[in-house]
Amino acid sequence: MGETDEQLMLAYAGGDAHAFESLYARHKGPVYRYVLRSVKSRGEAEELFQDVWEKVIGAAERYRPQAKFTTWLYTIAHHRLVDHWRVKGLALVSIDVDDDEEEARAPEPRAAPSSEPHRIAEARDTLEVLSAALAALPLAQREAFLLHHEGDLSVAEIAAATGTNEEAAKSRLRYAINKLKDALGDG
Amino acid sequence: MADSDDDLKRRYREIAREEPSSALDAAILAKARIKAETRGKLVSDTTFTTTGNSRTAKVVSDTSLPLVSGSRFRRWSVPLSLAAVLMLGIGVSLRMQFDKPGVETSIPNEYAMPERAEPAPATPAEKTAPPAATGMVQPTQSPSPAARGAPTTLAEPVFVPASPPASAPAIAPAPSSPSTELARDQAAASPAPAQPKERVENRARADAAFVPTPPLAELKAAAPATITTQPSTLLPPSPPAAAASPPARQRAKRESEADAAAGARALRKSVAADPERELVQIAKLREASQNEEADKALEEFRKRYPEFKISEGMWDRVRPR
Repeated sequence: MGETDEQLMLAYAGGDAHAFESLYARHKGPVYRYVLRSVKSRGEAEELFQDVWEKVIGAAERYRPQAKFTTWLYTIAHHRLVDHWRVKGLALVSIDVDDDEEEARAPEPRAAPSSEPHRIAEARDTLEVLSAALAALPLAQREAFLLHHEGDLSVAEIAAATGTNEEAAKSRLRYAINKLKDALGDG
Repeated sequence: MADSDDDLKRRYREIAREEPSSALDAAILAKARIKAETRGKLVSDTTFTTTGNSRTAKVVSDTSLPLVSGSRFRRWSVPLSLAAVLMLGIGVSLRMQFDKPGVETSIPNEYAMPERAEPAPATPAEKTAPPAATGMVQPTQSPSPAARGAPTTLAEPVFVPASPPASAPAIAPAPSSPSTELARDQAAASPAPAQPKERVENRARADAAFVPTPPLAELKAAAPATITTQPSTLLPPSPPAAAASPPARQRAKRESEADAAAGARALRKSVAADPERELVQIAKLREASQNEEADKALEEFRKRYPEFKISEGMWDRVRPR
């Protein structure tokens, strides 16, 4: 594995471009998918993805390895997504709201057109079902799931990246997993 | 639960295969490289000094760097500007000297103009006036003081000195006969030289009315080049004038106006110093035994200057014999 993410980032902050290439190669896929599944189109995803990495490049000098690099990276990505949703006029999921209340709320804006229930029912393939079920998740739950599975973040790290407490993050992740299992028939 | 979680993770891995495009990768990596290069440069120029727990960075200025190119321009801008101004000034002066030689000197116009003042008095009246060789102006035709102020007409007899009045005061009397000089002085003293301007104005009015009088037409045909002090629109332009460019025409107009002004100044000067000189001329006529002419001149002088006191000595020289 060689150098850790933090070491690579510090090396890049010192002017080592190859360190950034290594870092980018490690995380480009997960970050891209995290962004792609949080927005409606590939074009938007690419734009946001580029913005996230530009922020990483620009903030390299200020980077201090106080936390995991991935936590820092996904925090940047989360903030960029929040900005994007705000611009789009989407109602943000209150990260402080109780998950039970969240469940009882009216349906949140969906990230993709495929989030409609009838689309899920029509999905014959398991993967398509999973993909549709994932898209049908509320934003906060989907985000928690993606951060856990793509970013390999723990509950505490998810909470740190999304600016919420651990309980809320844990609850969101649990709800997301349960819904996806239900969609796949594993529940 | 753990098994189902692993199964979900495995299934999710199957669908999670999207990657950013290579173009996007290239763009991001290029930006990262550019940033790294600038940062590496900055880092290499920065020395770190460790004091206890604090680490401070100090940027070391590289004195071997060349000066900014802008400072060189700033250094030469003033001398270059001065040189440009000098060149421009010299060029304009040379051009003016070439166009109008002598313009660089401060000689008053009345001394510089006589050569150009020649055509001004040479009005169409030359045809009706006696030839310059005779030098004699009929005193009876001189306008009376009352008539001097009245506007003249084209039909009026014209009394023009043989030589230009503008040059008369400036040039020393030529060794010609005294009668010629007397005639010249009389002509200079009379307001007649002021007439050509009025006459040309009248002519302009006549031209505007499209009814040129026969004498005017004759005069135009006889001396087309004499009306040089008037606007070119009054008379049909001569071929060179028509070919001249507008700036040249304007310059010629300005020069002609200056000529006219110089002529008027010279006339005023000559009139102011006139009576004494006229008496001297009469005295010369007496000395030359041209008594008849001297008598006529004296009579004319009396008419013109009735209140002028002639000194005893001068009276002895000019009195009728």
